[in-house]
Amino acid sequence: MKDADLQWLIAREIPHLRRYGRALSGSPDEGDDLAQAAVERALTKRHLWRRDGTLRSWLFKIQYRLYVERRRTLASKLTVQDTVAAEQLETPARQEQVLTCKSLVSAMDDLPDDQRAALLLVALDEMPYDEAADVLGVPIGTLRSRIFRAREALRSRLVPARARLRRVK
Amino acid sequence: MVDRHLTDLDLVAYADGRLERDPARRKRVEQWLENDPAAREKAEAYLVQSRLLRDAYPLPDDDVAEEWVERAVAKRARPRYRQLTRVAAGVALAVACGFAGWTLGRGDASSNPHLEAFLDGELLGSPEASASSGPVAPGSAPTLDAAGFRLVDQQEITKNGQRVMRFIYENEEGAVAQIFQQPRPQPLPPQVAVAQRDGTSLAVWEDDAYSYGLVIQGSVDTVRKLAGVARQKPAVAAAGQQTDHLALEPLPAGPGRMGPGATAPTADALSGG
Repeated sequence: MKDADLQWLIAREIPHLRRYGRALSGSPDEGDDLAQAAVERALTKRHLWRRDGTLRSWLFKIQYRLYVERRRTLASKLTVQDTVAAEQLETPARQEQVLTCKSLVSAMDDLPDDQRAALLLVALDEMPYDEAADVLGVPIGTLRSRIFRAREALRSRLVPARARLRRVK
Repeated sequence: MVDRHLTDLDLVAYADGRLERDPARRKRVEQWLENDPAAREKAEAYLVQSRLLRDAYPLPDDDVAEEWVERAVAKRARPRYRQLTRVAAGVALAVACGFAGWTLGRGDASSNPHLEAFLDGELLGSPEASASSGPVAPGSAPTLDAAGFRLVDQQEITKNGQRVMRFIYENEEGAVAQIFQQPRPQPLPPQVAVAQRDGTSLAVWEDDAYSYGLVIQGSVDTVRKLAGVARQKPAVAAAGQQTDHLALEPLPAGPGRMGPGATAPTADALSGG
């Protein structure tokens, strides 16, 4: 594959990498930084891309490893609520949904890293289970288990929140 | 009636749209949902979660993709010099720490001007040094395939008439190993000596035509293992493999070819014995 073709294909994935990076890290800046680093590493290590997998899963794998590496060096966990809420509150007609989103994001932030990473791959980017498992370097059964635990944790947090919203109305 | 063979994982898979390729199982889950309000509520909650997640984390609409790729490509255009500098720094560390102060092999430390010349930080880091890259043609390069390292780049580094081939290898985790190869004046018995300082491990050895230095950030065991792999000759050369145009011809014996005052190393010096 020509370099220009690969670069074009990688460019197409950048919005998805940015979204995953932002959701994973809980920070738009940190997420963009992660995505940019992943793109740079991918172009530098392009010879390591094995064609038996999709380019997207390879890029996500690189980004996830970068995230894990950085996470190890971070002393404190980033918080995400304010960032997302500020962006979403710019559309007042969706305030109820915004509040629910805020609760969801808050609940996401409380999830263990491995569960959040798994759920985001599948729910945000609709990645097949086998690819998502490959990105995270875990067996598919482990991935499904993590997704289930993440979804249940969110459900337990969101149900009361939605009930409260109804009572307020 | 609840299908006892279905689990909550099937509910999640259903909500994630992962049962599209398994219509039979999907139908069983749908029957389950029809008969079990609690399961239906769960599945609905999962679907809402996915929708809210997509709302909370939309795809960025500012198009920076092209700019990012261009920037990354521009950065990639500089790696030769940066890698060279990095290696020079690593090797200079070895030299600066005093190669004589390194413990080579099992024996006592011993000065080895041949190796110092071979791994001279000035040689590699000086602006006077020139480096030229060529296509990766592993014909003359030691192979580290058995250790999971692939040859990704090679350079000929020249300064003051001294030439060193540098081979760069990477494994899937991105770890880098580098082998420096220099023609030697005269054959000596093959020996491998290893040393470590501040996390940088070094193995040096010779074969019938070249001296080699292998540098890696890692343990002595790792560098010893890699050196063992590198010293193995490929069983059969790849058919049609092109000759490495950067391959160096062995130099004739003579003083001064390895650096001022340098002498050919003895096997004892290399093994530290």
